[in-house]
Amino acid sequence: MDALTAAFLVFGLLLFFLGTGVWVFAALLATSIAALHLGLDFPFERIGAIAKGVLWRASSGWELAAIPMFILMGELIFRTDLSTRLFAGLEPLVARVPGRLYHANIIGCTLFAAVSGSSTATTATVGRMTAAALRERRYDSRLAVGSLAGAGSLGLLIPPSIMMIIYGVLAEVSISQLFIAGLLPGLLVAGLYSAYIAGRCLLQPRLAPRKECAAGPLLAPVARGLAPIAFLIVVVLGGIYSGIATPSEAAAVGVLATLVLTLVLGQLSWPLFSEALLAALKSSCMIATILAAAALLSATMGYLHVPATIAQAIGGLGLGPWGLILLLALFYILLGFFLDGISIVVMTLGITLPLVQQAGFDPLWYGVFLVLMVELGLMTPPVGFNLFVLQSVTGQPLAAIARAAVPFFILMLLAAAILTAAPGIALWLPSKLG
Amino acid sequence: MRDGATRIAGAIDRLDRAVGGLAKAAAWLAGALLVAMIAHVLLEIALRALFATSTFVLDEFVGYGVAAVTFLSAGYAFQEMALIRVGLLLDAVQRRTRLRRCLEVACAGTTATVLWFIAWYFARSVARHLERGSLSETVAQVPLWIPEGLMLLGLIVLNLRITLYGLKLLAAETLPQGHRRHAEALAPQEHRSEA
Repeated sequence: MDALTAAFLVFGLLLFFLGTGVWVFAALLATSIAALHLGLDFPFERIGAIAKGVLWRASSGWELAAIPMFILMGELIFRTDLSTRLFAGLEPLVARVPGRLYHANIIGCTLFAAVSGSSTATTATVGRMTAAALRERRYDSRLAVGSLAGAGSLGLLIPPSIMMIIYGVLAEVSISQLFIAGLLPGLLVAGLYSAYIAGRCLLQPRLAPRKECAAGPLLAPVARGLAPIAFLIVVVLGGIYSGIATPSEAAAVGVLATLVLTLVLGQLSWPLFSEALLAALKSSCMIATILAAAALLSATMGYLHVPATIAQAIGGLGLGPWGLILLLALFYILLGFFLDGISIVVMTLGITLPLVQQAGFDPLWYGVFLVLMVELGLMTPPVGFNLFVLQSVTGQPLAAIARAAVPFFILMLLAAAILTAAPGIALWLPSKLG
Repeated sequence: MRDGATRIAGAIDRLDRAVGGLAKAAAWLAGALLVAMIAHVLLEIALRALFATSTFVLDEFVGYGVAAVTFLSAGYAFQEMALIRVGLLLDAVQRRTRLRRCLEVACAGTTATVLWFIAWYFARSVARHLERGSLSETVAQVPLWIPEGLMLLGLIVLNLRITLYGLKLLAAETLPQGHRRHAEALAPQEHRSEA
C-alpha cells in the first residue's frame, strides 16, 4: 500500500471509530491496530508486541505525574470558598473601571489560570462565583457568559497548564520554558478581552449597571480576597522559577500548599479531600489514557509514513511559512468544532510539528500557538468544552452561549495573529529567564 | 425461554455489581498511590534542599505510579462516564432506542475487543517477567512484574466493566446510559446532573 492510501486509511478509520462514538482512547487504539494490520499486513502477534511496548512507555513517564497532581489541586480549590473570597476582593478593584464586574470574569479567570492547569476547571470555578452575581445585578447575560467562555480558556495558556505539559512531553520541549512562554500571550489575551469589554461598556453604559457595585475602601478587602490565590501562585510558579522544583515537583508542592491553605481556612475535611481525590483520578485517567493511545497512533502513522507523506504533499503546495501557519490555523479551527483539545494535539502533533520546524518556527513558539488554537476550539460548538461547562453553570442553551462567545473567539484569533507577527511575545521571557 | 433470559440477566446484574465494587476498590488503590507519589516528591524536595541528597528512585517510582494510577482508576472513570467520546451521532439517534442500543453495543464491543487484545499481551509480558524474575536496571531493582502487573490489573477491571456494560445492553431491556456531556467529565463535578 502506498503512503497516500495509507494516510487515507488512517483518517478513514479514525473518522469511523470516533464518529460512531467509540470512547476516544479506544478509537485511537482500534485505528492503530486496524491500520497496522490492513495497511502493512503486520501479524497480530507483532501488533500486540508493539502496542504493549508503546503503551507501557507512554503511560509510565514521570513528567506525566504533574497532570493528576495539578488536577487534584484544582479540585481541592474548587471545593473551598476561595472563589467567593476572590470575587469579594475583585469587586472593589473593578468598580471604577468601565465594564465593572465583567472584568471580575477576566481577572478572576486569569488568576485562577495561574493556579489551575485546566480550562474547564477555571471556567467552572470562576463561572460559579460570578454568573449568579452578575445576573442578580442585571448585567447583560450575553456579555457575561461570552467573557467567561473566552477568559476561562486562559487556563491552558497561563502556567501551570496541563496542555503545555502534554505538548512538552510529546514535542520534547522544556515544560518550564513552555510555562513561561505562555505567560505574556495569556496576558495579551486577557488585555484584549478587558479592552473590548471596557469599549463596549463605554459605548453602551446600560450593559454594566452602576448600582449595587460596592466601591468602598480598596486596599483591605482586595488584599484579603486575593491573598490566598497569590500565596498559591507564589508557591507553584515561584517553586518552578527559583529552581527549587521541576514542574512535576511544583505540582506536588501545590497540592500540599492547597491542603495547608484549606486547613488554615478551616475547611479541610475527609469528604472534601476524598471527593477531590476521586474526581481528580477520573479526569486524569481520561487524559492519560488518551495520551497513551495517541502514542500508539503516532507510532502507527510512523510505520505507515503518514507524516512524511503529508509533509511532502504540503511541501508541494509551495506555501511560505506564513501560508503554512494560516493553513494549520484553519485546520485546527476546523478540528476544534468536533474534537476536544487533547485529542487534537496528540493526534496531529506528530505531523504538524516537523512541518513547522522545517519552516523555521521555534517549537517553543509553536507550543503557545497550538494552545491558542486549542483554546479557540473550546469555544466552538458542537463540541466545545467551555460551552458545555457554562451550559451546566448557567443553565442557558448551548447555542446562546456559543453566540455570546463569538466576539471573544474573534479576539483570540486576533491574539493568535499578533503572536504570529510578533513571536517575541512568547519567546522573549523564556530567553531572559531560561 | 423467558425464564432463562431472566436468569442470565440476573446473573449479569450480580456480576456487574461485583465488578462495580472492584472498580471502586481499584480507584481507591489508585488514590492511595497518588497520595504516596505526592509524598515521595515532597520527600525528595526536602532531602535535596535540606540534606543535599536524594531518594535516587523518584523518576522510576513516580513513572510506575503514573501508569498504575491511570489504569487502576480507569474502570471507575468508565462507570462514572468520565472517559470522553464524540457524541454527535449518539445524540442524533438518542430518541431511536433500538438504533441507539445497537450503536452502543457496537461501541462497547469494539472497545472490549481492542482492550482484551492489549491486555493479553500485557499478561504475557507480566508472566514472562515473573518467570525470569526480571528486575529494573536501576538501584531499586524493582521486579518488573509489579508495575506492569498493576497496569494489567487496571486494564482487566476496565475491560470487565466495558464487557459487562455491553452484555447488559444485549441481555436486558436497559437503555444505554445517556452519555454525559464531555466537559462535565473534565469540569469539577459538583454541578453534574445525570443526562
